[in-house]
Amino acid sequence: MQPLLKVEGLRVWFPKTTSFLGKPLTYVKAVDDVAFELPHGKTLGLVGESGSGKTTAGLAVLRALHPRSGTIEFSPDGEQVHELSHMTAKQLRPLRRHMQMIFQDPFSSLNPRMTVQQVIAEPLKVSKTGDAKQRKQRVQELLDEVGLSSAFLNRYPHAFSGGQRQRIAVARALALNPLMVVCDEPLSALDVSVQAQIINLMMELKAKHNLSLIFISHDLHVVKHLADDVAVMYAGQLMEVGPRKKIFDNPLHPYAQALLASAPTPDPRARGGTRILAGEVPDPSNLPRGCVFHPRCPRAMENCADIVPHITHKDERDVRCLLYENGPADQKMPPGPPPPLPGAKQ
Amino acid sequence: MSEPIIELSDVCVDYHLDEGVVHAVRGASYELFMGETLGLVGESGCGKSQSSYAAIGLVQPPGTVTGEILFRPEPDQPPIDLLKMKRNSPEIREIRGGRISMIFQEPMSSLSPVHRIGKQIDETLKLHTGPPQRNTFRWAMRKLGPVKVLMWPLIPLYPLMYLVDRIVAFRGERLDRLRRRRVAVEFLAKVGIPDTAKRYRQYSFEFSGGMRQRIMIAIALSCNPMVLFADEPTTGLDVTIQAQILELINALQRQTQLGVVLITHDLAVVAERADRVAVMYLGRIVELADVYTLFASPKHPYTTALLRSVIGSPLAADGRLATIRGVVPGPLERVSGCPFHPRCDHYMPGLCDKIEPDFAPADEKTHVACHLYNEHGKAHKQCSRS
Amino acid sequence: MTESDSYPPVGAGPGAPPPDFRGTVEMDEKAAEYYQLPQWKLMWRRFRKHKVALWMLHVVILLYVICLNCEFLAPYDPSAIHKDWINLPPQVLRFGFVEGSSLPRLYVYPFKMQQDPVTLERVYSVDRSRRIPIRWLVRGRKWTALGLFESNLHLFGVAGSYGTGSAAAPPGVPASAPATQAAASRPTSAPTTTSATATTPASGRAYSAPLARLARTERSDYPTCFLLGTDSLGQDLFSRIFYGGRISLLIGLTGVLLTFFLGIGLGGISGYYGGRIDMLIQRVAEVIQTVPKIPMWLALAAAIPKNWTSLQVYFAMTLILASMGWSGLCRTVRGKLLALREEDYARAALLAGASESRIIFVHLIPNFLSHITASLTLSVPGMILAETSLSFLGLGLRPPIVSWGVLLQQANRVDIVINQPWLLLPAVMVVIAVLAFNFAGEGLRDAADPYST
Repeated sequence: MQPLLKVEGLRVWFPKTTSFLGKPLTYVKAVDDVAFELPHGKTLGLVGESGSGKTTAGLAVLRALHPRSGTIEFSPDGEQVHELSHMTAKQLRPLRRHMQMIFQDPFSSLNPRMTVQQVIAEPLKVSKTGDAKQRKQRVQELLDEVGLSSAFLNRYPHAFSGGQRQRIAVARALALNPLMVVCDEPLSALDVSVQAQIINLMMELKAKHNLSLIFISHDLHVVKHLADDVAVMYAGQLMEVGPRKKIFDNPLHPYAQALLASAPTPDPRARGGTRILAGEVPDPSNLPRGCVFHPRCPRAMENCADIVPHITHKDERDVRCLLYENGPADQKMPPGPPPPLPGAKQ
Repeated sequence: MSEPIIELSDVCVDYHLDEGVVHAVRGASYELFMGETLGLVGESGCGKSQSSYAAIGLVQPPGTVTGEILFRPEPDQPPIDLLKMKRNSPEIREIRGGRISMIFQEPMSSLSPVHRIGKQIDETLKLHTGPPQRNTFRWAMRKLGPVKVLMWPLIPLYPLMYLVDRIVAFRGERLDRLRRRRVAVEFLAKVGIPDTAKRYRQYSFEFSGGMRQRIMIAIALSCNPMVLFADEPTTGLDVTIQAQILELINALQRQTQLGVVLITHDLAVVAERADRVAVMYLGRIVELADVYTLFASPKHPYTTALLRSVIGSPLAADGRLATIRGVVPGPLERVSGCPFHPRCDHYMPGLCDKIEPDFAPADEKTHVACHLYNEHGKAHKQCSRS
Repeated sequence: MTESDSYPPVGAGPGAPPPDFRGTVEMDEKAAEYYQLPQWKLMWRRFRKHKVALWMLHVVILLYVICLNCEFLAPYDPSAIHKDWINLPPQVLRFGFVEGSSLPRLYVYPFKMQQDPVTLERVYSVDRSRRIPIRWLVRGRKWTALGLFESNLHLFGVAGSYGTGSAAAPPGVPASAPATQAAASRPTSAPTTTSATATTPASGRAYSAPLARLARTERSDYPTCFLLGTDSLGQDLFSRIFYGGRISLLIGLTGVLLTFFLGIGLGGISGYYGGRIDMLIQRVAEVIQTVPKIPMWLALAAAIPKNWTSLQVYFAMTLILASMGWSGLCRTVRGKLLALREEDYARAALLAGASESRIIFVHLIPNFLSHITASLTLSVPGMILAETSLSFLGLGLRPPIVSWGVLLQQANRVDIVINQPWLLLPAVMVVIAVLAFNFAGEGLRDAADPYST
């Protein structure tokens, strides 16, 4: 049984400076060599700070962006594998119903000119499922599922609070019965008590429809609550990915350790456990040579500034750190970046 | 630590709009002692920022402030009532920035994009620590009193007097300018900005979010205030940067015995850094206690429900989270009696929807505004039982 | 403001009351209705609060209504030449008693023409001995509306005049009021003026075909109501202003409509697709914008062949004016689209599988349509002024088409400013139209602009 999503070597580079004729000279490497797997029905938590590329990775996986290189293998039925990275828009259209997204900002993810009815029915209309009456019925069902009353159908988004809008966004994402939903920080714009409602809602719907979620967040507690696997990203690269329990109990990568140590816990008895990580998140167009984390790393060695570490597999996780690299036998990625895909935007 | 340096008593902030009156803050009372961090927690719209704006006179019309805010800069002097001062009078402007400072939420937009950051720190220092600016014209006007109305033909003399002032003060100003620059560079280093000489001349867009917040802290603390209001200083910053900023504020606080009011919606931040916590709901402070007591045994039902819905708190469950039923009422809606009663698990009909509970001590460590802990509630229980 | 969530309550302790929401969290009817209004209705409500803009919108609508119905409203034909009544000052409307009527009514004093026997100079003077009442709903010259509907009713007129000299006037009618009134109310049986065949004027002379156009003269002994005077050809300025207004205002509208389609079409394509198409379209737009407008218009207008009919010239002028205006709108639309393309709801539509054109036209463009409407309303006065300027310089529309610019072009001389200042009144109309559009457009823009979603 194939995993629902398998990503290897994903790179999304945006041209920064171009030569006079338009050829790109330098790039902003938003996502650089990211690889993970998402089995059916599991949740992957993608954590990182600003500039880590987690949102870009989520968009790239959904093919809302064109990746520069890498493979995205999507298998909705578990048997047939579709390779998404160089598909055209037309080829992607039948697959789009299986993967949907919930956005971060509830105030801009709903079209202010459309009523709730139109917003939720839009995926149905575009994919031409059912006639108007069936669509209306389905919208009604979806509203019930997310816990909103049907009096809301004819209202415009400016009538609703953040939590309610996020529910409408969830209803829209579920309209086509997708298998995979990428949730891009759906809770950060919400109040604390509303966050709890939305978390409960998502857990319930995930169990009911057997959804696979890619949950992107910077809040480690939420990820700990929801995710089965956790991937930690920094400056566009994947630092560590593995089962949740392993990562939270015993993080291997120094960045993961620092991240977990910096995150405050809402429990005053846990005070004093924070360790401060010095330095700033690097500028994505001017990343450090070698390991991107080495300027801030408390355990940096001399050759961390020269060698880009490969991903090694240790203790059920994939780690990108020279501390754990043993030799060619443990390397999973070949050295050097692969050539760009044909048709990739330069 | 006997007398609080800031004491709010029954402060109300109302905004009189066309659509109605919005009661942003309804009777908030708290105290801040020297060297302590008071965490002011609440969800959006609960009035926590507005109560601190009231303290330094940032509430603009159509907003009005009533109540009493006492500020005790010297222990043996009588306290100053900040609300008695006229808006933008020289008195309040001396306090604002010099004695009581504030840092704001959005580091991206809190600094002026068209001035160099060194100039921005310099401005605060000039206003509060420099020698008073010569202004002969104004002195003359003040001396003349009511007669000055008859002197209107002399208005063209003003530019001349201004020029004379500037020329006379020029040399003294130069020395002061050097002193200010030294202090500003020192503060930039203190807040952890590397390469200060170069950074002094840079613009705010050349800095990252965390750096900008540090610059804000430098501006706020450069005149050694006694109180710092930190309005959501780390919302929008990364977790690691957040830890840095909070640690920085703590370190500076320890150096100067600064009192900090930490306004945030993040309970984790408050649990890490605050000494005492005030929980606000709909413009009222519903519970005020020290941080350990609040998290271990919250008294007010709102605090309890809030703690149960935050992941990682001692009361939160592992699976399905507890939620608070209902939604926060809108700013123009009026709720009778206790503002939380439509959503409360311990609602007592006949009491909670009619009488608003006072903010009173429940035991020696906690102040609560809830009928469960006052005589009304006890009487009600007696009645209902009998 | 928001309705209570119907999500089932969790965490209610034992003994908690059932979840009926006591407290004021119900939304009343008015608020519920408010939240169901689409954006344009909300915009209209905001606009209505802006009193000045609302009044100016009324003025604009009034202008258009007047100018579109100018055949009915104007007493005279714009090209009717009254060869005996040239350079007359306005006949001021007065209110008072006239013979033959018991109630006070509007009237005018007619003119008397005397010819100096020595110099043969014509001297006109106001004849205050007679009062000519203004009659309402008189029958006069025939007119057709849109080629469908024919009538010869005019809103007002003076008894005895036919509005425009259809040369077939009933013979020998004296200037006494009752008789002329009877004559005026009898529907004319004469054919309309554009017949090339000779028509018999009251004097009985026949005119040959080329002179038939000149035969639109009116009898001099009929009373006249030149409310705003006449020009050097004896044409009534009041009627000409109305007819001219129609042309000027419609040029503004059609020019703006063309700009609208061109701007949105090209801007939409370039904004959404980006890349080379975007670069190409934007460079073209920039080149067009950098070319100085007035010389370009002059050049294009001068290139219109002289033998084109009025209608062709009119359309050519519209095209010329719109050809420069679309670049500004194109840039605005492109800028907006570039920003909106990255918005989450556009992405959500893309992820649902919507085609690009659907995203542009169904999702993105309606979001700033209100802004576009406001800026288009603000560009109509520019078009009106451009047309007026060009015609004033003699390079746009030319007689026999009447527009405000053409009227002003005939008032282009110092001696006219001194001796016949009433000929400058079309300028006042231009000012009114431009001001009204500007105020209304500003009001629309304020209503559309800081939009809270």
